[in-house]
Amino acid sequence: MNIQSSSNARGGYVFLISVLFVSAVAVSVLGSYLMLSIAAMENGVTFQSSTQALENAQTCAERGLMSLFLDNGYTGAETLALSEGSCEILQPGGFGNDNRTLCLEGISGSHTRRIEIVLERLLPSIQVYSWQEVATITSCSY
Amino acid sequence: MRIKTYQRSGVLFLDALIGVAVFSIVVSGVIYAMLFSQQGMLKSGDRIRAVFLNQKAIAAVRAVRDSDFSNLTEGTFGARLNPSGAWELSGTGVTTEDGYTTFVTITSLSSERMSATALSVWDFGIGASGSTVLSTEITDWHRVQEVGNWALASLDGAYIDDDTPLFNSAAATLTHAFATSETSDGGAGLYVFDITDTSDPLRIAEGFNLGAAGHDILIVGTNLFIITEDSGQEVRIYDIETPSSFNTGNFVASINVPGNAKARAFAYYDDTLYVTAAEDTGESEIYSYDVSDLGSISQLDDLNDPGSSFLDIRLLNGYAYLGSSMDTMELRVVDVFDPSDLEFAAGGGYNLTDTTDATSIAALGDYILVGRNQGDITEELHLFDVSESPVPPDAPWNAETGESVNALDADPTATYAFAATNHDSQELVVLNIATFAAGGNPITETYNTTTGDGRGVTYDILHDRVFLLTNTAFIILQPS
Repeated sequence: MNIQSSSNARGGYVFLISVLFVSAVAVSVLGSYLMLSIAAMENGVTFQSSTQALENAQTCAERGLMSLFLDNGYTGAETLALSEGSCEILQPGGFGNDNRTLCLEGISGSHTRRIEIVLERLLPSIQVYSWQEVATITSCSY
Repeated sequence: MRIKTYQRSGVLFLDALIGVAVFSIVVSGVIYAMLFSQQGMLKSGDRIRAVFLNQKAIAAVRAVRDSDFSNLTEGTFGARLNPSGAWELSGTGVTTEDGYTTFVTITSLSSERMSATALSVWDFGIGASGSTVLSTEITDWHRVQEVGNWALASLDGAYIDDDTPLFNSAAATLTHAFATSETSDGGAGLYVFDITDTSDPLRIAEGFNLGAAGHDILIVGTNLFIITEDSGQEVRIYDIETPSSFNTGNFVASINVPGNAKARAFAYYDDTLYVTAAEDTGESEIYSYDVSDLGSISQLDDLNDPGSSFLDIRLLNGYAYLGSSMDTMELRVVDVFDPSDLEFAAGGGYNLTDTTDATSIAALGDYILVGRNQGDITEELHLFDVSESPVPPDAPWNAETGESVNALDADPTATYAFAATNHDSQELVVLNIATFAAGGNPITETYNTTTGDGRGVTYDILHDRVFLLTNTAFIILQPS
């Protein structure tokens, strides 16, 4: 009798333990989904912030080009506070009217995007030789 | 026995109940997590889609600006393609087929600067709505500064000195001009002018004296480089960040070019200064210096050309074009792609007819213009086409000025070149380059001054003005 009784009790525990085991697996799946969800949402926010960082760099490009157009002696090296972050115009390369370089950094949140622009000439109208986003600025000095 | 069996069934039922409950909770959690995850991914996708639409709206604003900055007006618009396929800003927003509405708001910040903020909103039901913003600034850097009609030149303003400075060369910022001079007849070596009003150039820093004759001059950022006849400081560098208070305390650095005060001209590119010199039997005639750190200027290379004085230099497409006194090669071409390894370009240069010295050079896109001393049997101006080869393969077009050409400059569009000459009544000669390259007479205008020879000339694109330097005057000329 005692043997039969303990065997039934073990059966209940086995079911419970099985459920707990399945639950543990399920919880890990749940956790994975949650992390996946958070990562997916972060992707959107990251993309938005990174895009804004590039636009901030473009803002400095626009300002820097205008400044160089108005005064080819413009020395740059200024940081601009913007509504959605900031940007920095590095010291332009070259001198005078021809063969100038302009380097910009845009920052939004933890994201930084960089642009290097090579100009064939400034006046009478700015002629751009190249305009590219770069990982590291090499054409201008900080 | 029966009681025991009942008790065991109850425990088993309770176990199962707990198990089912726990399982249900966990499964519910998983399902919720799946739904939450799916919703998060959808939200992320919505946001990324909206950011793309914002980018497109900003690109549309730039496209409108590219055609004409004045087309940008303040307000909130939608960016859409017009029937001809060009971007236009109209209405109050644009809604895509998949339900996003994008607005772009333009606000004027100054006469040449506007802010553009793109806003995209979406509402796909509870928990599936949102908005994103992307902001930037747009400026009028596409504008064109017209070069005037220099076929008609007239006096804008002038500074005439009481002594005879014998002005040589000039360089200018937006507000100030700097002119070098000799010192042999009362000249100060360097003159500073306030040209805020170009019709009335005002000499400032009158107490400053360079202490030696000044020749070529250029401005790099906030630094003024001057070629001097100081035998220990052939190149001097001054800080001109505040030109109104220019004085000897603005001295930054100097270069002692080998030879005894032989330096005559220089050119700058990418932290490298190229200095040319008059003939010295024991020294070279062109030097390259690393001037990236003015506190530690170092010579990179030099090149000797025995029997030659290099009186002027211009850089074009990786080559230095030098006006030389050598009778058999008045135009010298040096490969300066590697400033640490100066070498003559293949062919070396060009031997112009007769032996008069080349005194001046101007670079005009595909052309090099050479000015020479007056020749009895030859012209003084020579235009070379260097589009195919750095060393001109063909004979130049030639033009006669009647007297020696002392200096040359050109506008950046290569439409006009300007020559300062010793001619009694044509101290400035304006050349039309297109006419010159077509084989016609390029002289479209001349200017006469009673202040002495045309010793130097500089075209200033910032003001669309020509600075003519004579024995006693710093003259500012304007186009019609």
